[in-house]
Amino acid sequence: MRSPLVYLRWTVFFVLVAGLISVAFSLAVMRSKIDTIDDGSINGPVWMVMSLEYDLFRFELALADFILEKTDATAVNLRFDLLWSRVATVRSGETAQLLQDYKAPSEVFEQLHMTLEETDAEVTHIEEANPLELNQLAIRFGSHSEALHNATLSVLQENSIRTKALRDELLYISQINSLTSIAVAVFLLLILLLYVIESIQTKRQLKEKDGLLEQAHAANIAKSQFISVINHELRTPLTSVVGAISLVKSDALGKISPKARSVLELADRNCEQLSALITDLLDVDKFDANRVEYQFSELNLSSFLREQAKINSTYAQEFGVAIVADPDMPDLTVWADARRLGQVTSNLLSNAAKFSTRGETIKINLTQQGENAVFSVADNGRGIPEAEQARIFDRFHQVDSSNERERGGTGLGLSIVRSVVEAHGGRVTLTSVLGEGTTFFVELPLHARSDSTQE
Amino acid sequence: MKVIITAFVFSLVTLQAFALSLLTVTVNSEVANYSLDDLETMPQVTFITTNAFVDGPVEFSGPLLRDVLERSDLLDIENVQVTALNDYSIEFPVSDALDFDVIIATRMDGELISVRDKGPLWIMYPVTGNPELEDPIYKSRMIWQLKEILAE
Repeated sequence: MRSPLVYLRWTVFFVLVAGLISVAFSLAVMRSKIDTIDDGSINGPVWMVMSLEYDLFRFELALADFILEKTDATAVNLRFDLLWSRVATVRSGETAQLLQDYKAPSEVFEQLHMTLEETDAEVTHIEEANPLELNQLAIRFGSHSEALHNATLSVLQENSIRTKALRDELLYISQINSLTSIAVAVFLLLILLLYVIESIQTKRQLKEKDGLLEQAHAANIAKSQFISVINHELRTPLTSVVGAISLVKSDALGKISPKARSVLELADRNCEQLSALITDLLDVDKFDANRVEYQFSELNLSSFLREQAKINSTYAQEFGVAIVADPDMPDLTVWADARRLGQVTSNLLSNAAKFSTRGETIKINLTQQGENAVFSVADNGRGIPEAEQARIFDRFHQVDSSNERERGGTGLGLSIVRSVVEAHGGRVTLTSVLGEGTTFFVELPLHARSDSTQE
Repeated sequence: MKVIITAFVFSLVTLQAFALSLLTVTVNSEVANYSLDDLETMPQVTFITTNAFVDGPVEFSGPLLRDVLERSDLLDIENVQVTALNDYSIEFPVSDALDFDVIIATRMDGELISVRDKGPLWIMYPVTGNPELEDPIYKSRMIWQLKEILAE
């Protein structure tokens, strides 16, 4: 279940992100607007018209100096050429466009250009001109001054209008920005508040969970202790029962009748089974608590399996089942606890015996698969339904409980098998076909025979 | 005969024009003069570029600005004062000459550049192919009618 707080938090979060994006966006817009401030720059329209005015003035000055014979024709021509290039600049390319945008009257530049073209020859040969011609030339250029100055003023005026508009716009953007920033700050506070509330809630929940966990743990410990106590309380009287039975059986208390003997045998067998159950229970408890100690050593698996076949044969014979180890098993060595591994084989073999029909044979085999030794225990019993296969390693699980009881079993054996095999770094698997039989495979890592690990 | 003499005189005048100092590089009042001839005998760089002052792409050629600066040992300083014929003058960052193939253009579309066309010398950046040079700041550094480079 999700608390409404979570939705609120996400909403606030997205509003926050949207606010930040809008701030970033408006800052970018502001930046690009600021970039357009161009009035004072060297290529700006104001500079251009003022430079033109200045260049005209410098030419007029040079002309006046020439008339007063204070300078030579070369200087006049240089000023003329510079004026020419300036006029060309304001009449062409980006600059012409810019000046047009700034409402500079282009006819003023055109007229000046015409005057330059018309007087070009005269200025080039200015040393040949008479004073009257020179005066007329000066008057002619002088007549452009006022128009040019007016052009400058109109560009300046347009520039100031634009600057004001830009300033207003920037002011507006910065106001919007401030408001958005305040909103962002408020939402940030809100999200912080939400986090605090949520963390308080989480803490409370965690505390509750901790309490539950503690209870569960205590229950588990109690269960373990209960099992230990039961085991102990069961085993002690059982030992004396077994002792008593064997004492009676040995005729030490007087000869007993064959009928009584057979009843005693039954009692003895059931005691043995009860004892095995207790041992299994104790083992499972140990596995649970990780209290099992392993004594690993080098183990020749093929001879171990042959021996196990022999040991378990007696038990199997009770069910009229034979155990046969494959005579051609390869010589494989594993690093194992022989006693624990014996538990594995005897569990698997006794299971196989219990589920086999009389007269059948249980086959033990051993192969090498890559870095692993794999031994198998195969029976021709009734098989395990596929749905059960995953669960048979669970504790106290039995395929068909009603039938199991007849055969005797705790439902702990396979759980022990799995624990032991996994403790050896291996794994246990099975294949089973209903009505045809089951094969268990135990995979154990091969023991490296290199001397370095041995020493 | 008259033609030959005229041609001779004309060639003398032309030679003189080529030998005329167009650019002075002054470092601590030590003056180096460059005539058109001097500039054109240096390794030439040619590129086609557009800029704000010409209509369409134009081919510019001339010596690299850094070569000229190097001759006066000016590559280690930060700025030089650059002045034009119309007395326009700015601080020019030497790093530009090192970072880009900035030239002192002596020719535009293969022709010498007249004063009326912003010559005879024009500091030119290879704007086409270097988008970062489209920034307005570089427009102001394309000094036309270049006359003098000054360093202290």
